[in-house]
Amino acid sequence: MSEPAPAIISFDVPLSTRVVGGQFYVFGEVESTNDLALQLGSDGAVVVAERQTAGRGRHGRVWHSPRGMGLWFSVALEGHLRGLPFAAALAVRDALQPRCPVVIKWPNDLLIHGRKVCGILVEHRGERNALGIGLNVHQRLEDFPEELRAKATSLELATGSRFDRAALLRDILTRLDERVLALRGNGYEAIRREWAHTCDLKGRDVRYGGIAGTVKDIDEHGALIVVTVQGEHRLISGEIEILTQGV
Amino acid sequence: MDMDKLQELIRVFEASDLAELEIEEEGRRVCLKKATATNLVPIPARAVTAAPVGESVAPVAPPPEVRPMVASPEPKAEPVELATINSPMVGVFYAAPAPSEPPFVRPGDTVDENQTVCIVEAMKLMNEVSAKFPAVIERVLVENGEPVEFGQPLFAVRPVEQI
Repeated sequence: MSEPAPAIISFDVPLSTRVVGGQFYVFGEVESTNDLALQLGSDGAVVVAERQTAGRGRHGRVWHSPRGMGLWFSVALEGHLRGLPFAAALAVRDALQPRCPVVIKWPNDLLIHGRKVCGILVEHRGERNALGIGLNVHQRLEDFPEELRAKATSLELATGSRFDRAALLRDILTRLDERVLALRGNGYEAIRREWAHTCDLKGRDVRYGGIAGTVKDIDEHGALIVVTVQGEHRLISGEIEILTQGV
Repeated sequence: MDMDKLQELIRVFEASDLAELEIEEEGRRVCLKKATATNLVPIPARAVTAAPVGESVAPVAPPPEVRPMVASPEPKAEPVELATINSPMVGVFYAAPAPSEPPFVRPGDTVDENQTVCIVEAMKLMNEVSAKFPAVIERVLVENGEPVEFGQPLFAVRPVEQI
C-alpha cells in the first residue's frame, strides 16, 4: 500500500512569474490536465491534478498518474511557440538538476539512471498549446504497473530523498516562465542549440523501429539525422534506443 | 490480389508524367502518388513513400487488399473544384487520437470550420489540424503513421458551399 496522499498542492507565497501561473486551477481528479488546459486556460494558466484518470503520452499512450504520487499538470500557452517541447525539457531539467542527476533524452523525456522520471507532451489546438508535464515524485517500485518497473522511476526512488511537490512545482514553473519568455523573444534558435547540445547524441549509435545507425546531427527543426547502411534518415518522431556512449 | 497487374500499373505510372493516379473498382481503391520526400522516418517506421507495394510495408498494418484494374478514360463527371487541408508542419500523420480509437473523420463526413480532422506530430508536439471552412471529406490522401511535409495535402475536401 502507498502512503496516504499528501495535501493538495498550494503555495505559501505567490509565484513571481510573468506568464506562467497567472491562473491556477487545482483539481482532485481529472481525466487529463491537458484537456482542461485546452478548454479553460487563458495564457499561462496552470492546471494541476492530484490524479489523472486518462493522462496520456504521445499518440494516446497512457501516462500513469496515481493520486498524490507525482506532479501532473499542464500549462496553457497562447500562440505559436516553436520549440516549446525543447524549452519545457530544459526548464524541468534546470529545476531538477540541483536535486538529482537528470538528463534529457531526445526529444524530451527526462531520465535518471536511464529510467524515465518525467514525460512532456505538447498538444496544439487552434491558437492554444497545452504543455503537459508528468513528473514521478513519490512512487516506490511497487507503485508502478509491472510493465513500467524496469523503465520508470520517481525522484524518491532514484535518490532515496524526500521531495516537496509544491517546491518542485514552483521551481519548474519559474524555469518554464523564463524559457517561454525567451521563446517569445525570438529565442528559438538559442533554445534549440542548448537543447540539442544537452541531448548529447552526436556520434552515438542508436536504434529505432528495427533500424540502427549513427547520429550525425540534430537539425534546425530538432530532428535527428541518422546515418544507416541504407543512407541518411531524418527522425521526427518516436522513441530511440541509445546503444553507445558519446564521442 | 493480382500483384502482376498492380506492378504493371506501377511501371506504367512511373513512366508517365502523372503525379497522382487513382483507380477504384468495387469499392476498392488504388492510389499511386509520386513521392517528393523519401527519407522521413517516423518511429516505429512505416515504410511508405514510393516503395513498391508489398515489399517494405510495415508489419503492423498490412496494406488493404486492392484490386487494380486497367485505367479507363475519366468518367464524364461534372468538374468539381476540390480543396485540400494541408499539413501545418513536418511530422507524422495520425488519423485518430489513439491507435485504438476511430479516425477523426472518414470520407463522406461533413466537417465544420475548426473541427479537428487529424493530428500531425513531431517530437512530441501533437498538432491538431482542423478544417478552415465547412467541408465534406472526399479523400484521405495519406496513410496513418505516414511522415508528411510542411504544406503537404492531407485531405481532399469539397467546401459545402459547392454542394
